[in-house]
Amino acid sequence: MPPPAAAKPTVLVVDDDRANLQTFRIVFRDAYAITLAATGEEALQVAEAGAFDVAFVDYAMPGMNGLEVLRRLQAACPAIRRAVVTGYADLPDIAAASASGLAEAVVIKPWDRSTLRRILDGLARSARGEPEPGERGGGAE
Amino acid sequence: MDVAVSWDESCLARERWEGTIALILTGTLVPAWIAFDVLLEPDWVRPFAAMRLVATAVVWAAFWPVRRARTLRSLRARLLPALTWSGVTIALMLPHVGHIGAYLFGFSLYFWGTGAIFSWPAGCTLAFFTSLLGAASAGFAAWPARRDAGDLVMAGFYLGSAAVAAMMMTVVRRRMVRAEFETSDELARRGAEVARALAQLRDAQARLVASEKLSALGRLLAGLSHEINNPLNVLHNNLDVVRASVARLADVASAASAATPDAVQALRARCAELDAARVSRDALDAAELMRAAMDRVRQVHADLRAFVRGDAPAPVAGDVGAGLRATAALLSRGLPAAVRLELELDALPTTTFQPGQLNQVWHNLIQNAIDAVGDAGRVRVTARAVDGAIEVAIADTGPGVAPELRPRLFEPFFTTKGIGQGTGLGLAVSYQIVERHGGTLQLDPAHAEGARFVVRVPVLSRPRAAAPR
Repeated sequence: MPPPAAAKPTVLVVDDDRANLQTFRIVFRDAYAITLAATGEEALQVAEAGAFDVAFVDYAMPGMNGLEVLRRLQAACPAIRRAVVTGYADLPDIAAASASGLAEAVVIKPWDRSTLRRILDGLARSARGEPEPGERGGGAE
Repeated sequence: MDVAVSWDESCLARERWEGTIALILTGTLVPAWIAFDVLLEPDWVRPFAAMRLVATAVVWAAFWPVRRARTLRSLRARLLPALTWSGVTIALMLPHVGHIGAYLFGFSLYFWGTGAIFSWPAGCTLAFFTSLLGAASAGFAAWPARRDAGDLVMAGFYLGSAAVAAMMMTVVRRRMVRAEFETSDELARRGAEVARALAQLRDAQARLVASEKLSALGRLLAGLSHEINNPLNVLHNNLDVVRASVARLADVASAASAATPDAVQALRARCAELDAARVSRDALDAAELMRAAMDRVRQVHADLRAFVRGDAPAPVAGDVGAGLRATAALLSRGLPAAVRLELELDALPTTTFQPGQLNQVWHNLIQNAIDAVGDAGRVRVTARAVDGAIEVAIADTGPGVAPELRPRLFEPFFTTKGIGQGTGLGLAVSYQIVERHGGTLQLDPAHAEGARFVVRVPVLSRPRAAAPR
């Protein structure tokens, strides 16, 4: 049963690939209140304007890469929980960001609907200070 | 061949000839001496004729064994006793001959020559002369009345100087001739080593070329993997959306087809709950996204196929521009937003070339140009036909090549990129490939803004005699 609209977690999705953004919107339309951004700059502007539970950011983007976006988001809006999505989980930068907590979750692309849902739900609960039911959802893959 | 063995063989040949000559001279001169004594000093013929005749016989007896000796050891075992015997005989005669100065001079030459024959250690020569000097001294001691002290001194002087000369000859042979022999042997061995090293180098070079290609391909594939990963994500996740949407719409549709007129209200309620319009739109959007994703993957595949096409060893006749276009297309994916890759290709004449190899050249040069411009700039690839050749130029708006680096540009392993960014082989390998196509690869010295590399390959109707590997 879908939660009431006000209770939907708010997710900021950042990806330079429009098709990925649209896919996310179609797949998770019922689950989250979704805001899309195609660049890091756009994401930062949007984040400062509204309150988000989770930022879901693609790593490989021209200009500002995903980790840089997360770093700035962390400074500007520390309450946002941060997840990075990448095709290369073994990149040293990603591993370092995961170890330091800059990226609280690392999602491997192509992602899977149910796994991603579990991760984002976990992060959203942690953003709202809700208790986690059962296993922790925001662990790095 | 082992240097010691070849040295022994060389000594055997030489000592056999020199020993033969020594035997012939001794076997001829000693009888001649007897004949002279018959004329000049008949008194001394009788007591010593037998001794001298035996010496002559010993020398001639050694002749054939010396000629047939197959090893240095057996040669010396026959030569040495014969010459020593005749030498001792002559030395014992010395106190008895008149005109001793002239005799001694001649005999010293004989001793000197005999001693110098051998390539032995100097100690052997010294022993030989010591024994002859001992024999001469014994002769003087046995017949003291015959010669005065002056003759004794003279005999010592001649024999001694002969010994010294022979010693020097021996030492010279030992040290210099042998050293020279060893040097030439060493040179031959070094030559063989150099030839072997060259063969290894050629082999290593071939492997380097292959590994450079792998490294470049690895980098290209990493970029392409990203290009394929995004469409894959779209395909994977929209498939479920389409399936779920179709299932929900089909449910309603089948309910509608079986519905009676009074069930229309209930059906409308179901449609409203389903939000049929939105579900349909989502399904259509998802299908459209999937189609676009498929197109992207297909295009990547088409470019990749054109890039690796003709990796077979044989050259083919075709259009150089096709590979250039595919390579540029592959590399243009995932470029920073402010980097532009422009392609301006004239219609090019058909030529014979190795597409896999020339694509490697285009890949290296375009990738270098992209690396050079960094986050913002322009890479311009042009191709045109000039004077029976095809000229491809790759220009970038990067920092260019510093004048002090230009001479080393095509050196293997020379790179200004960081570790993991380049092997330092790209330009060196490209240079070789273009050279094998009978062409040239140069940095345009007149180009001021950034770097401009120019490749010129001749238009060939058939493969070059030395077909590009």
